[in-house]
Amino acid sequence: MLSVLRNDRGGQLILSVLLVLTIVLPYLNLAFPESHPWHFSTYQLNLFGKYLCYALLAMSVDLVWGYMGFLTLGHGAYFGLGGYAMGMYLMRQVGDRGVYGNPDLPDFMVFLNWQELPWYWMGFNWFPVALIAVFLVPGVLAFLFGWFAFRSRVNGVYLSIISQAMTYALMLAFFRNEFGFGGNNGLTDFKDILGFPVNAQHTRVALFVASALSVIFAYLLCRSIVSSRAGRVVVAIRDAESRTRFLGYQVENYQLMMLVVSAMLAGVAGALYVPQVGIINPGEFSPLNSIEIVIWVAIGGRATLYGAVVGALLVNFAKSWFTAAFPEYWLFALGALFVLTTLWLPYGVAGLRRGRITA
Amino acid sequence: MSTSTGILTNKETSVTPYAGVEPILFMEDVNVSFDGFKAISDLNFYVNEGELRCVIGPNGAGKTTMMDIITGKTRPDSGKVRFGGNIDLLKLNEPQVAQAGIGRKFQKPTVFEALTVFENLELAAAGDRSPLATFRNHLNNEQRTAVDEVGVIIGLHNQLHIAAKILSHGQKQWLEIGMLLMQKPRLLLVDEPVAGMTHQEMDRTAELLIDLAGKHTVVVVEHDMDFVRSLNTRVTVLHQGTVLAEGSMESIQNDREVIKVYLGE
Repeated sequence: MLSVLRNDRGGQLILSVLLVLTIVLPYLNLAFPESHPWHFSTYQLNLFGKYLCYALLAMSVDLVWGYMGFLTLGHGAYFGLGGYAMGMYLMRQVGDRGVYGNPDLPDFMVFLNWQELPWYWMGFNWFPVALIAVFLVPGVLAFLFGWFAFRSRVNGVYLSIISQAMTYALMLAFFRNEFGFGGNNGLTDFKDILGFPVNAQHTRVALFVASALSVIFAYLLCRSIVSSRAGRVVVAIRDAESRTRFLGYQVENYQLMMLVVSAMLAGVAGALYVPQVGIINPGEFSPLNSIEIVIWVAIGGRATLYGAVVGALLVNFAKSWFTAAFPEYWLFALGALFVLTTLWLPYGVAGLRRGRITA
Repeated sequence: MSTSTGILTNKETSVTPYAGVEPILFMEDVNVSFDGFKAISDLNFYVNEGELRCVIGPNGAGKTTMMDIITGKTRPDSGKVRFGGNIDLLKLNEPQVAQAGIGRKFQKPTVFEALTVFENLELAAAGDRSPLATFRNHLNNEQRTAVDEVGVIIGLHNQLHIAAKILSHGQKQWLEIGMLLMQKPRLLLVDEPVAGMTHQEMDRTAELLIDLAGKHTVVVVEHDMDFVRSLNTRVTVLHQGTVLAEGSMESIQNDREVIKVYLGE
């Protein structure tokens, strides 16, 4: 599987750094006491873990935007659905330790006077079911979206707007209490994951490692797709769609395959994100979030995969520093960053390495 | 199919296919209108296997629309379009038409700019075109040889590994023709192959097309009269969506009707 990295210097670099960090940071966290200068704090580790989820999400966007040319403004939907699937599992793990002490129902359902668990919550106390849902729910939504949109040959701006409308509609639905996912409070107050306390140091370390390994594995998967013949067909669709059709390729099938894979990766990112931040609410479906992902990818550099990873990490670390130093001005800074990248770094940070600044 | 040839000979406006030979492309009574404008009207058009045919006609004569109908891009309001005797092209979409063995070259050279010449040809190589198959498979030896051979035919064998975007206009035209050859089509539809070419490039393209006929059936749509003359082959003149005349270049040039609508003398 590593052979796909043969001609991918950027990928080799990023994955090596990630692999080293995956080993070194948990070691610095666990092996040294908090007072020790070499100690890496659990808070920092947790923050990094969260950003790795964003990196995975950015990569899933790069797959469809960078390579296939579909500027998706609704990828937050797949991320959110993966997150909710994990959140439902975590809610069920709370058991009778909620505020109302009801062993059968999550707190918000007791509050709404519901008598029994809705059918779509069935089985979510079982991890494998939640895990399947993490892949399946975003995958099915992407399939339905793609089935209708690609078959009717909707493209360009219209496709982007529809994708945004989709995530907006989901946000409105999830805001409603009757929808059965905790309304605007979302799902929170988690206790355990797989029998381990969610907030314990060791669990956090494990979640960080899981996130890092997911990024590495997803990178290899994405790279193997884009460096295959199928990946070149996808680039061909991006550059000359009708030419590709007249060569005998069923363009819709390729678009559908890419979108479903991408949505599943986004779902995994959401599922890893939720236990690390301890909450999932409808805000994740906000169109603004989806637009931010696109900005990470643009800043990192499109159609490189590693650019998406770098962009997501860079922007989010900058954000956490900036929002501490100048809390009011972050959005201006992000906007400025986006404009400057578009003007002077059309290939993003990844373009610096390639020396394509002038291109 | 003898019945259909029987019908054909009774038609006055149509050009009959050669007696006893099964046309590879068969269009009969085809009509298309866009918002009331009749782009194609009662068109009958037949091409025989291995033939090189030129289609000429003034702007708006329906040449490109005819190509669109054959390749599944435009659905006619009525009429029959068949390929290779029994394939009903009206039931197929663009990729299916391509897989049935019809290759099309666009008016504007369309190659995949971000990919190399090799990769362009590779994508066009005949074979299973489903996402899973292309994800798993690499080129086999036979296809690799085909890429090399086509590279020589289109004169780009020394530039196989450069990006298609840095090719010259004429080279892109050839690359696109090369991609069609990789498809191994039975019928090649070529829309204005010499647009924007120099005279030397034109001569080479003419040689290439003449060379291809016989192995493939080739239909060329072209505006450039010198080029059509140099192909020295059967010419069909379209006018207002229907066939105005058909025959050798000399007979066409002496046809009063054709002179009136097209040569404008």
